[in-house]
Amino acid sequence: MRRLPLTVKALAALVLVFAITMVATGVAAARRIDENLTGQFEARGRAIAEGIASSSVEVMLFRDFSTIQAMIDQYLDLQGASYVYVVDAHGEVIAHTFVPGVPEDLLATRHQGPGSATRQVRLPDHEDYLDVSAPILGGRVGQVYVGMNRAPIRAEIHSAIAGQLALMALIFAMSLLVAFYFLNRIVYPLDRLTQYARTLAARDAATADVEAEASLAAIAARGDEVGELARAFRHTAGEVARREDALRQARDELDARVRERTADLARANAALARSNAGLEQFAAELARSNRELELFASVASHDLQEPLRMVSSFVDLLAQRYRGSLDDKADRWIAYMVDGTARMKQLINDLLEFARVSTRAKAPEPADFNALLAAALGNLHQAIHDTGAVVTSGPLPTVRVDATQMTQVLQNLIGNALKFHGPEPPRVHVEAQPDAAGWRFAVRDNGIGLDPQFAERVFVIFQRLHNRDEYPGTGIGLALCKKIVERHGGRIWVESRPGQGATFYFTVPGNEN
Amino acid sequence: MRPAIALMTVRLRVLVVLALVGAPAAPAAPAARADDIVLGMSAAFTGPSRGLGIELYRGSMAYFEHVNRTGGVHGRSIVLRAYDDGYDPAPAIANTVRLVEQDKVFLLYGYVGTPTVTRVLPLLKLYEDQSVFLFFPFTGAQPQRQPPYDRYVFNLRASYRQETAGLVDRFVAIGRKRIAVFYQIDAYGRDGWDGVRLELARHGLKIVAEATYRRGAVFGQSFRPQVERLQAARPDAVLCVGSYAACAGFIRDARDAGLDVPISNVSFVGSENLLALLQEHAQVTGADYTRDLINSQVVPSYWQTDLPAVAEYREYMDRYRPMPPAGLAGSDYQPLPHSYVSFEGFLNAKLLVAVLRRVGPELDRRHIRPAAEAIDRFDLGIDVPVSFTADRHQGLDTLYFTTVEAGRFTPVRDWGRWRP
Repeated sequence: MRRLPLTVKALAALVLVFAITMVATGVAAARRIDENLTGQFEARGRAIAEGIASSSVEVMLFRDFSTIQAMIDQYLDLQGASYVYVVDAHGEVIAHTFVPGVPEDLLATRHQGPGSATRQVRLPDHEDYLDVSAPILGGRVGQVYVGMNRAPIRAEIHSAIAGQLALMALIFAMSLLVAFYFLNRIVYPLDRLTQYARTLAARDAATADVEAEASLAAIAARGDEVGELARAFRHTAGEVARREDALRQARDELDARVRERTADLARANAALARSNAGLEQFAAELARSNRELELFASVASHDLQEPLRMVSSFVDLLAQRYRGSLDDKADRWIAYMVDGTARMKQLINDLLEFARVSTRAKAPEPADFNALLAAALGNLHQAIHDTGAVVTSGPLPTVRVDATQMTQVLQNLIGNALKFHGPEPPRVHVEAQPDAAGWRFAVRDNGIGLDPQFAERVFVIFQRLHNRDEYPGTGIGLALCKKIVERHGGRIWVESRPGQGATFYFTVPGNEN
Repeated sequence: MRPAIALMTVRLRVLVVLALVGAPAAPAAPAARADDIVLGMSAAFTGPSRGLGIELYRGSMAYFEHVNRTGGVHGRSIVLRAYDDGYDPAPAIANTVRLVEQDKVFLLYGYVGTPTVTRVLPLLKLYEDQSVFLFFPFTGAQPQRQPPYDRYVFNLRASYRQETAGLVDRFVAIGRKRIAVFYQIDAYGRDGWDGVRLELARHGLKIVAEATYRRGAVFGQSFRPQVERLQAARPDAVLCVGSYAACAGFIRDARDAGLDVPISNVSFVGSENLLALLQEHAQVTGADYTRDLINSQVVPSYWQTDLPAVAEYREYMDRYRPMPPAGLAGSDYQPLPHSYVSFEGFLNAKLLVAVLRRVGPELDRRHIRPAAEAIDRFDLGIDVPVSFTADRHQGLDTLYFTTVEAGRFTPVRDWGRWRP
């Protein structure tokens, strides 16, 4: 009961105000009535006392106390006095109306002056009286005392106050009802508003409390200040809710975006870190390899070629000048030496060429493989002619590659096919197929083929499957191809059976067409 | 507002009583013929003092009945028209006005009580030019015995002042000087009180204590406050000036409280009524409340049968068996065969008839006063001559002291028994 405190406070204030009003008006009324009636009673008492005093002069002089008694009895009966007593000049009570007798205190304290006087006394019956005295013949004959009981004054005050209290209580009850009604009319809607505000604060923006909305709408329909408050409140609540929704949406969007970006960033960071590490490693390796290669190239080109050239030159000189001068055996051995140096020279050149694949590489550029094939075939023109080979090709794409090196690849593969032909004249077919990463090229021949167990070995530098005498060559060709293809991000492999020809595949990434 | 209410109550009371007396009044007073002598009476026929009015009426009627049956007065019958005032002044006044102005009675007769009579006196002054006189009221108060009202009233009985003076003298004579007074707080009680006071003063004494009660008191109520008030002063004797109901109640409470000094009453109590109450109560408690009671009477004892009037009274009472005024008194009242009150009524009637005979055959009120004042040494039959003069309207001064012996009030033979 949230509305109790305000209601209770207001009603308590009402009670307080009424209590104060009641007491104040009661006291005021009591005082007014008391003064009024005391005045009246005193006046009446004086009238009685003076009436008795003035009419009893002669009877007093005759000392006819029976008549005095009859007279005061008459006043007692007719005038509303509570007691009357008459004292003679000697201070003796000669007539009175007390039962069973005159109170001693009253006599002892009576007013004895010449004039008339009023005092308030309390008698043994515990009642308060106005004791009014009047002198008989200026007090020379005696004194009349009349007692007016104040009880009727008290009774009148009580009844007046009771009536006033009853009226006030009635007004109070009505005020209470009216106040309670209007307080309820204010406090109840306020309570509803408070509850609504609570649910508003607690609820999910999406879910509206239908019941609370309905009661709020009922309050807002009112034409008074409370209705105005409810309308303003509802408007504010709606506005708050709308803004809250917008804010929430914006926040959510922002959140999502931030999350996304953060994830991206994290991924990128990870990738970057990874690639950085790879790159660093790669760069280091590259640098080392480069240095080795350079060293190697230097050894090959200078340090090896120079002694070789010297050996070759002097072997050639020996062969020319001392042919026949020595025995046959010497001549054969010299011939072996000349052959050896020649092969040595060839190996060094091949090695240099292999190294150059890396060191002399050019930036990839779009290259038409038809043109590359043509260039390769041009270079192989003599061999083709010698072997009577037929070289065909399917449609070939244009791909970004190092044209010189790729031409070398085609030339080496086709050259291989020409070299290892069977009894029949070689037939070579070149074709390209798009694949997931780019293009897959195939060079197919009808040559001698090879055992699949050697499919890997053929790509290793200076590894040969055949005797040098059967098929010439240093064994650099396929190793060179592998190096070039791999440098382009591709792969190279062979599918073959002995005697059934071979097909060399290589892939080149890129999707230029 | 209070006086208004008080006034209204009084008026109401008057109206009620008027209403009460109005209707039944007719049968109470037999239709008077033009030549009847109609007497007007206002007395207590109800309330605590009704025994006085009823017995006074019965005693009077015993004699009037006899006169009417033996030729009347100058051939005229005497009709006694009675109204009840309940021993209250206001109805007494109203009754008097009605008797004089409506009923046009020849004279007023047999009123009972001091407060009532003293308030009626001014009316007699008012009706002075119509010569309305009041004969033989049952009260010993002073106002109707002294100026200015003595001229309108003729009394037979001795005054209270004489009664109280006689009692005081006797008590003082036997050494009981501490006299206390118990009295009715009205004109009657005050008159008796004044009598005691004056007589004590003559002996150089004062009243040692006094206590009052309000008129209308009944036997059933408590008089303990009054008894305590008097007992505190350790009196030698108590003098009561009241009605028989109040005095009986006082005597009861005094004896119960151990106040066993002599207690005396004046004639107004109606000794038989007082005695009846005390004896009735004695039957309840088993105590004796009748010891040491001394009542003064203003007529001789009706046991004194050697007196011609007593014989006459007893004869007429037995013969005519007068009833209480029909319709006025309650049916529960048991009339007394004989009493001091009815005997006084009888003597009053006898003297009045003597006066009426002197008025003559013509019913002229102006003749009343001379006729009454012409009564000179008239023999009522009680061995005491009765006289009226222009200056003295009281026929008897004799007192008769009585005390209870063998269950009834009989003359006191020896005061010495109460010597302390």
